[in-house]
Amino acid sequence: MNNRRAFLSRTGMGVAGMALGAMFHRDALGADGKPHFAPKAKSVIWLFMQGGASHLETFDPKPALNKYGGMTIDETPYADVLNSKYKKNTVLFTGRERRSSPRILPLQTGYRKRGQSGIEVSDWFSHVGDCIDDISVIRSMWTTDNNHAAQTQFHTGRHIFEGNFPSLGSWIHYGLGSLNDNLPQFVVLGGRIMPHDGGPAGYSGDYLGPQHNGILLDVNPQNPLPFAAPVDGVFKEEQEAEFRLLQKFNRMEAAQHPDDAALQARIKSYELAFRMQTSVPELFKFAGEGTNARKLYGLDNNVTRPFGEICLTARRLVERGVRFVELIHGYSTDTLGWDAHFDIKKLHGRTCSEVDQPIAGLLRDLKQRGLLDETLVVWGTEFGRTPGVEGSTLGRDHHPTAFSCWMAGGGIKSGVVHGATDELGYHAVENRHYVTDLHATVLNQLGLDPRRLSVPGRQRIEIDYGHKIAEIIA
Amino acid sequence: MGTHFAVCLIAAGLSTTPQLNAQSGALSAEQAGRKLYAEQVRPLLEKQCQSCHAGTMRQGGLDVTTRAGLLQGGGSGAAVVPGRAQDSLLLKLISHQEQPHMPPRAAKLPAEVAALVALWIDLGAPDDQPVAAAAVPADGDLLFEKVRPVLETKCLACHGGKFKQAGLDVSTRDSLLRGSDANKQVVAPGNAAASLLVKKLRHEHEPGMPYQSAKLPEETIAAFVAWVSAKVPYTSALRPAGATEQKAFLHGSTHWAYQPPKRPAVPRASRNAWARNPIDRFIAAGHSRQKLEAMPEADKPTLLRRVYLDLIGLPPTPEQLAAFVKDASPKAYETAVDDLLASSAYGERWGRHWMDVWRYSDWYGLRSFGIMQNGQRHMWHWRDWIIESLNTDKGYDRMIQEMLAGDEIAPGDANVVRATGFLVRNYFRPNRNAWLKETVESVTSGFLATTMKCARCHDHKFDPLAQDEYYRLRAFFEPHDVRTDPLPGQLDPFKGGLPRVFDSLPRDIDGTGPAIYAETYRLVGGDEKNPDKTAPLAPGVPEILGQMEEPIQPVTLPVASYYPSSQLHVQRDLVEQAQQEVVQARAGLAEARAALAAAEKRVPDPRQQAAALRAAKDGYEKDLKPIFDKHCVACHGDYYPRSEFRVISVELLLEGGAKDGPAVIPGHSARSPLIQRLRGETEPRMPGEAAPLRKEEIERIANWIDRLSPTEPKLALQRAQEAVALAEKKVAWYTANLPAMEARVAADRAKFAEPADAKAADLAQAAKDAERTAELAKAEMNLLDAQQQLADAFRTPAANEHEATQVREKRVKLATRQVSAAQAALGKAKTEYTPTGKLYPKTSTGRRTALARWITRPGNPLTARVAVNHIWLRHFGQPLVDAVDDFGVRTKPSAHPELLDWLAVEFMENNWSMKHLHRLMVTSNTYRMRSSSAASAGHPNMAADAENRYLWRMNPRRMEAETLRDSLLAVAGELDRTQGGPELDEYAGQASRRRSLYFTHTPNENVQLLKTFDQADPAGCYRRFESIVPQQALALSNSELSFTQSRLLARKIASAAADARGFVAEAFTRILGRAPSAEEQTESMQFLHRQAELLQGAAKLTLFQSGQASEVAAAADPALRVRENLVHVLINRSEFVTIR
Repeated sequence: MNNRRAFLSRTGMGVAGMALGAMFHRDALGADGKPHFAPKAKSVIWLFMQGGASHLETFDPKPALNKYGGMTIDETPYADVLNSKYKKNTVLFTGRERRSSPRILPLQTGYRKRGQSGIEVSDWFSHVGDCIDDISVIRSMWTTDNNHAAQTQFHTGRHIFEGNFPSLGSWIHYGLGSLNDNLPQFVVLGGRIMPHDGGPAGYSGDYLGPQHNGILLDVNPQNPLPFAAPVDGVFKEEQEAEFRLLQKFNRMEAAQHPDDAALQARIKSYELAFRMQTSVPELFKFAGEGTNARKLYGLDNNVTRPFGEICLTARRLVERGVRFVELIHGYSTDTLGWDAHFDIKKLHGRTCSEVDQPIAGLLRDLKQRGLLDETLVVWGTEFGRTPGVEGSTLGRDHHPTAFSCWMAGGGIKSGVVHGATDELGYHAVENRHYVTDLHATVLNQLGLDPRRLSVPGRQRIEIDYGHKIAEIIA
Repeated sequence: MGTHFAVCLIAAGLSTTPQLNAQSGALSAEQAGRKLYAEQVRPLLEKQCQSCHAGTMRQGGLDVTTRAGLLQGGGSGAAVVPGRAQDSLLLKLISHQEQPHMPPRAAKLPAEVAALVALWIDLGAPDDQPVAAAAVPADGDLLFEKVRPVLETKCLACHGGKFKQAGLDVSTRDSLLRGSDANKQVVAPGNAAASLLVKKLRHEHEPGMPYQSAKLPEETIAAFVAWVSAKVPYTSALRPAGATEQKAFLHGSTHWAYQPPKRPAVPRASRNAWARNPIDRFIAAGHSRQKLEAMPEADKPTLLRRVYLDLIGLPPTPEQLAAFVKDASPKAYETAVDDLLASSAYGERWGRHWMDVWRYSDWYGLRSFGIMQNGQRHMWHWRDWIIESLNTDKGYDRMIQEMLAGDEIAPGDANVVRATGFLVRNYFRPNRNAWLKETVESVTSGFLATTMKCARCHDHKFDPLAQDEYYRLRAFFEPHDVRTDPLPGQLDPFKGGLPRVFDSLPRDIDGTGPAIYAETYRLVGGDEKNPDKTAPLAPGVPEILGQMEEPIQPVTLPVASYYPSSQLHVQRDLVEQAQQEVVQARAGLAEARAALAAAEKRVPDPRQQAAALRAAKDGYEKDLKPIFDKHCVACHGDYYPRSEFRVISVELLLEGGAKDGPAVIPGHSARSPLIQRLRGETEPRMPGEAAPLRKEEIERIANWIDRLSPTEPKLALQRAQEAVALAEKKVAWYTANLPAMEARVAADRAKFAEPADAKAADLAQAAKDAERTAELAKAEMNLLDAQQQLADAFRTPAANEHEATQVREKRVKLATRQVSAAQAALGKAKTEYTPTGKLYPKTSTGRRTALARWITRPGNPLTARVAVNHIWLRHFGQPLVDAVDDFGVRTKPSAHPELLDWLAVEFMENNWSMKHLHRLMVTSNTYRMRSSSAASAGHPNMAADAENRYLWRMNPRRMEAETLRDSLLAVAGELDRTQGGPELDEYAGQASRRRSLYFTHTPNENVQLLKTFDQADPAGCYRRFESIVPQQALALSNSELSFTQSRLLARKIASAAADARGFVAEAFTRILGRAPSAEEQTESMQFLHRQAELLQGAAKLTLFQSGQASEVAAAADPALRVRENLVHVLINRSEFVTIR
């Protein structure tokens, strides 16, 4: 890229998606910051269950596991799953096969038909189950990484060995820009992706530039993001006066260098920064929310409070026009998160109880406020878990060949099940979807065509685009 | 007679030739040869060779059907030299001694088959009857002639010879019938309808063929159908020369970047007065072509600040600036440039640039577990090598050679070997293929700006790079492995050592690292589960970039290299360590005895102990628990605690981790691993993934530990007695170990001496005996220790029921195992002494040296151009070739191609001296021009070339992250110029005064401030982003660093300049390198005045509450505080971060 264009494309008020940044960016790249066609949704709340949530104990009931529990897969009538052509899709992170988990572990929780639609949801997700009539469940997801770097893959669409690529949130930020100049447009809340699983690559703009990175916020009104406030002992009025002088100086410099676009952008960036000092901490002041919210999100219960606060913040963010809110659950608990290599009953029982009520609360709250129509809520995880038991510990291992996700709101059908796995839940077999199909669906609801999202000099390949899941779109 | 004997001898060993074996005794040499031909050689030639080398085909001009044909040979000379098998090309090719291997793209023939052919040749290569001609249908010729032109012009460029897209090669019937990687059957001879080839031609199968082209005419497709139906006859060789321009494109033979650079004539510029050196003449020529007017020279302060920041990454001091402005000599600027290039800060500034390109990273991956997943500890040795090499102006060619093969070209010189950190950095513990992928990528992108990575899964889509070539390049690195060598004074590889590479023997996955494979195979489709084992690939370079001039030659290594423990400093350190251990053991014994005496006294008063226990519990609840809950419980809580260590109760805390042992040593906080880890004194530092605890938090825990004392007096007494007994055993073991170590060192010395030491055997025997004595002492100590552990496990009161069963069981089991291990060791005999260190291979393959020589040979079209482009980018803010990491055929050519070539040749002819290039560039008039200014806004240049592609002005730039932080410290007079050494904790980025390139920098661990300003991504950064985002404004205005430095600077200026006016002038000069304008002066004075008024009424103002403390609090005196405010404003000015 030549100098000016290079500059323009790199200038963008990522954090606040400022108008000026968007303007530069459109000028440089031809993206006009408008949807490609009429959108159904304005914002996305992306719930990511980190560690690999078992599809078998959440949204994909497999009675055969109870029937054949204790047998090896070879001994069941479904032994052919072990020779399926789908197995070759898996790319071994360590270059070695994982220990096989041939002996079938029965379902560790019960299922019930729920809602008008009668979709079966596990007892560990009873609150979400009560909202099932607003949800489209996809039971036929697959991915290729058999280790936790699949977390990064779930967000970029590529196996980590192929390198880092822009994440879904970054593409949306790049394609649509801002609805609110005072807040970051791509926010990450809750956990973070661990270094060896790709780390920040899971919410990075990569070649789109750092201005499209997801911004990590902490549920902490005092220090929600790095450098959010000056050191102790500084007065607000003192800072304000400094700021006025600074901008005066900067504008004097701008008069001398009228063609210096970087200088113009820097002046704007200080204005935004100044406003963000107030607008970001305000997100976390829940005092005005009232008892209804406390109840809905489970804020009075220590198990549900942490993720409840995160879900509540997500609602406050989309209410203020933020485009993409990524909520990660699983990192900072004293468990393995969702990575239930042993005692899945105990571990998943716990993680499910941490998120079930808050997520249901979020869906209800959005609905009550009329926001669910324009907010697409996605629940996902990096892979499923093996039908077989891992070792002697009543756990389940990583399982990239089948897992479940769901979507709600934002122009998605209500009370629908799409796709299916085989009898053992080993492979997605019907209406199979790779992770980028999920991306394509999200982009579609926001009015974006993945094929029209590109950057000169950066080749995207077929698998990056995915195919929207038309069957669940209302 | 001799031949006859040979026949018997060889044939007797060949199970494949029973008949020959049985009858050979009776045969003459010629008879034996004929028989061999008829029964073995002719069938072999018919099966393996005649499909290409017979009839009208005769690939390479060779006809294998007759003896005469073989003797006459083809383009490469005779295939068979009768009586001299080892000189016969046929044998060399089938035994893979020479390229091209035969049969092509097939497994090597078994050694016994080759041996038969050799025998036949040695017997004079007699034949009986010609090889049967291939069966070709009668009208085969006709049918083939119809499809041949199509195969040659439309297919062969991608599916034949070097390129075999999708693994398909149509050049011979055999290769076509072998199919592609994905489809073993591309044509079904005789069944056109079932043939994928036909479906592709009909565009019934995606992608249709020819690739991305219109469908072929129906009659052509019909010809293919007829040909396939006739069982695919090939009656004459395909002529690759007949391929179209697509082939020329694929082979890139005309692409500028693949032509070795030649020095172009320097243009005679019309404005010679303007041109100071050849760079200017090239640029001026562009100006006149584009009708652009060069901007005048920048004013002196601007120019000096520019060149300072550019060459050393620090702004000039007010004194340096004043001296330069005053210096009227015509060479004032050149002198300044020479001074800067001679400054050691140059190496730090440009070292950071090259660290970007070379993907510098400290070790990372699983730091919180203390496991190296990526890279190795102590990568900083390589960083220091970069800095030092630049400062001594080591040739760039030599730098590449040292980074790729320092261990081969100077194996005894640690200063050179540390350069191989370049390769060590790519170490990836879980997966060797991923590791080598990074290695190939960093070499080809960094040195050659070639996107070789695309050819990992398939032939390159745009550039003339075949998939095989990717793996041949990888083969240079196939044997290499990483290790950490001991350095003087440091035997613990965790604490220090030299990370380096070496060529290893093949190995399986061994628990400590990935496999080292013996052979390189093409991974079909890049899939590591699918290596093409039919054809191992030897090291080789991409054809388009020119051949290797020298063969690969193995390197014999000196002893110090293959046996690092033979070095004097290691031997000295080993003995010294053994001595130290004796001293420590004795001190430990004395301490244990003192503790015993104290414990004996304490026994009479148990009540005191009970009180102490209560106090400890109270302290835990009040002081420790909140800290643990906040920082530690996530990993060391109830479920699945890391290292099986839990902090959730006093008992569990004291119990320690089942994996790492005690975390807390009562009464001794400094010796407690918990405290050491929290303080970052030992690895892994805790908490692993988050910021360290605050000092006062750590102190609170430490105090609590110091107040602890053993809980039960009687138990304490018992333990103290046991401790004394154990300490005595320990003294015995270390006392025996010292002479054993000395004896082993002496034995080592003799063993590796040159010439061999006659006493070596005796010394080895003595070492063995001494070691045995020491081992016995050690086993006795271990036994006692294990017995005590066992006893302790039985008598320790458990915290609760759960503990009683689980934890104790575990401890008992462990201790029992240790007891039996120790007992077993007592009974074990010894046959040899243990060498003091690890022995590595005595030779290195020389592959990497050969590759490095090839990369740095003057004929390499890319190496010099790529480096020149990187340097130009960093001086001018834009490169000569936009895609700095991809000089492939799709890259837009430079606006200044001649200048690039001229500089590349100039670079190579001046010993690849970077300083020579820097000097040329920064002393050019092109560099000295003004950047954007008021004059340029309405200037006709703006209409003609707004993007400044032709460099009619200088480009203004933002400081890189490191320059920004360093400059801030420099203007405040706080910069610590200490150079080199271990990486600094990334969390110290606010408080430390060292230069920014010394902080831990990995894909995960960074100084937040630097990251905010677009610091390099260590996973690959050939060009920095220059983003402008609000977080940067927040970082520069709110960080502790900016407050601390502003306050310190304000106080320094204030103490020198008492009046406000003087203060303002001095602050501008120091921070911006110029005096304030009248308007700025006025604004500043007004600000100081108003701000002072504001602060007078501080009681009415609102405080921020961030919880972030700063090292220097705001001045209490409002008059000083407002000056601090002014400085704080100035360091936030756009002008400060901009290089104009």
